[in-house]
Amino acid sequence: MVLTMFRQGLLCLLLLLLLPACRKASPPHLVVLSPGGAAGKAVEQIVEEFRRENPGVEVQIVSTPGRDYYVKSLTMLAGKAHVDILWLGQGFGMFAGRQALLDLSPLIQDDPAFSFRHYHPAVVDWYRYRNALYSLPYGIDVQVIAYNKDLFDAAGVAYPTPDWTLDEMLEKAKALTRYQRGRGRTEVAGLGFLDLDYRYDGLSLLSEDHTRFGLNNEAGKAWMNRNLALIHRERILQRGSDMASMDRLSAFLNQQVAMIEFTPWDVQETYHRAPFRWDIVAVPTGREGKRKGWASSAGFGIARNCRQPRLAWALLKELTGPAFQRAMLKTTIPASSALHGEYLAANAAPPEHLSEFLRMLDFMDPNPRITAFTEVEAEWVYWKDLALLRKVSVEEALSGAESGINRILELHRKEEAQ
Amino acid sequence: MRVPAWITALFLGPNVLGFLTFTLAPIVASLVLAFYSWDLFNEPRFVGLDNFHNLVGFQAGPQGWQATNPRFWHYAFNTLFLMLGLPFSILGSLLLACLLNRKLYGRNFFRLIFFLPSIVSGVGVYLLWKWIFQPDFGLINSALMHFGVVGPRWLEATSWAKPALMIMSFWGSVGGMNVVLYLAALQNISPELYEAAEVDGAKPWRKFWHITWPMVSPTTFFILIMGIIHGFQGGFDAAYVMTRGGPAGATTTLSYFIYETGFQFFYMGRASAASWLLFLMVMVFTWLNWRFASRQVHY
Repeated sequence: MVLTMFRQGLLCLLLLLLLPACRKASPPHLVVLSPGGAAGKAVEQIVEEFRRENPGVEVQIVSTPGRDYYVKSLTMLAGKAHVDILWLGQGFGMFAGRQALLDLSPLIQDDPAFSFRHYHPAVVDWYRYRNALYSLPYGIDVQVIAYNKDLFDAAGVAYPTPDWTLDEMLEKAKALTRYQRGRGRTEVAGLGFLDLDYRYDGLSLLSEDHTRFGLNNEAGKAWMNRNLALIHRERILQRGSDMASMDRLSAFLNQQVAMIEFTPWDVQETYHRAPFRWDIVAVPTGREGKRKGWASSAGFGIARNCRQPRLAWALLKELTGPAFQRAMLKTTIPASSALHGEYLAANAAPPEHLSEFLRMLDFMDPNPRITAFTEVEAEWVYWKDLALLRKVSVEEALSGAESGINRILELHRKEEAQ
Repeated sequence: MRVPAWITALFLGPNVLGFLTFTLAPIVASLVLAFYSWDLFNEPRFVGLDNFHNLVGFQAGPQGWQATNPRFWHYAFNTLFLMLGLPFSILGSLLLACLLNRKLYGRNFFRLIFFLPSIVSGVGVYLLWKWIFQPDFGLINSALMHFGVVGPRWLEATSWAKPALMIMSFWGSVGGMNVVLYLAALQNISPELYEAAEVDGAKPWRKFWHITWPMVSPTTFFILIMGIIHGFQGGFDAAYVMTRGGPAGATTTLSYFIYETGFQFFYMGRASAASWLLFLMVMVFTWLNWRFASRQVHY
């Protein structure tokens, strides 16, 4: 009797478990991965409009704010989780190199209504990988220098001019730095950089073809030695150690640093929080007379295993089109040059010279968008930090970085050839 | 009444199935993967011992033989270095247990207080310690500044980051489960032993060294073994929350390295190989413990 009841109970449980499989066919359903923050809010706004225009389509937004966005997204794609559209930025290479994205070219060819006029041509090229186009950008991020006018005035230092040079920047930084020998700490550092970007010296982390490390040479050594002098002897640079407990922008807002590298996404926070007068200027011209500044871009791509590419393409166009770009005017430079006027109008002064961001569009030097960039960067930061914290010699650090980075690149070349 | 075999199987089944699916299969899979190259996206490719060579191998370079991956050795050193706090933690726990074993006023309150670090959320504790170690306005350096001492930059200095983590780990482990184990061991010591020693005129130190220490030695041995195993496996959460392995890899342990290799760089094969190397280290150290430390244990 007990046994019979037990068997019947087991059968009922089994039937209950099978019930969800018997539901009727679900409506079209898109899943969008978003990084949260300002972009997340803009995604919600555009998706809401998309839902109104496509009442039969369900759109789910999966938001992963913070530094683990790429890891989570890649893991989801690798696990064949339902993902249709995903946000992409500097980590684009990690996705494209692993063939996790869908080539947009056939969708573009089949869509007569689509036009590239809303996208900066050079930035679109950052999303190409082996002749395929995997994403479209909605925004461009460039780097400029933000400076605290009050600290400049207090030190009697003239403000930077648009045509300033690297040497001028270092001279100003020296005059602005206030070091308290008794307390063994810098009260005001001239430059709030982790280190002086190698781009200012016209250098690149990797060779032009991205096959080997590019800094183990005389120019690289000179760059590293200059950073060591700026950190330990002249104390102009607020070294990573001082920055780790306080992020770059907070140090600037607390008036602990006079100049920082500044991006469009810093504008609003600084506008609202800075208790001092400030402005921005393009990065200085390097010693070789060239101006080069870090740049990046954000956009959206379609997952390779997307179940409804055409529907996803319709939403992707909205997520990178003028409406989305307008929604992001306070965070990033729109990818469409037609919207640059609106960008300047949307952000009230300060900074007085917001147009310096637009000027930097001519001097963009993005990080290489290769599959192994995260790993290459980690290897580089490891060796660079050891040298700048004086744990190993400059030669040792550059040689270690060269050996490690070349090994990583070689390994990835072999993997891709297989 | 004899229970039918199928009922026995039914009750054991879920557990065995869970063990096979979530423990044994991943262990076997990781052993196999250690010989493959796999990035989760493409098909795994057999690479023989390449993953091990990439971690612990050596190669001829311009300056003689060099480690293929110097970072692995650096992180193995960090892992061992962080375990140097273990003897202090064990001694601290024993001392604390001896104090809490006395008939003191408010004894239960103190037992609760000292056990608290074991039950509070790890991430919360790490964030709290991050603030304590903050060099400009953190608790320690602010206190030191009152005495005119400029404190170190703790988590931001390569020389101080590991000692800082060891201090935090000491705080977390000295009063937790180890004290409970020692308290249980102390309460199992027959009072007659102490009475006999007192009759012979033994002083407190003699009683501790000749009675307490040998009588709690099985517990000490157990804590030592577990401490070493946890030491090898540990360091991930603190590094993840507090330092991200920095500065310059000073707080990266092998467990954090495995996470980074597997889930940041997507080298699943190499991460598996590193896991098995870590397992080998744990096994060798545990065997050495059994071989040498167990001689000092009095059962």
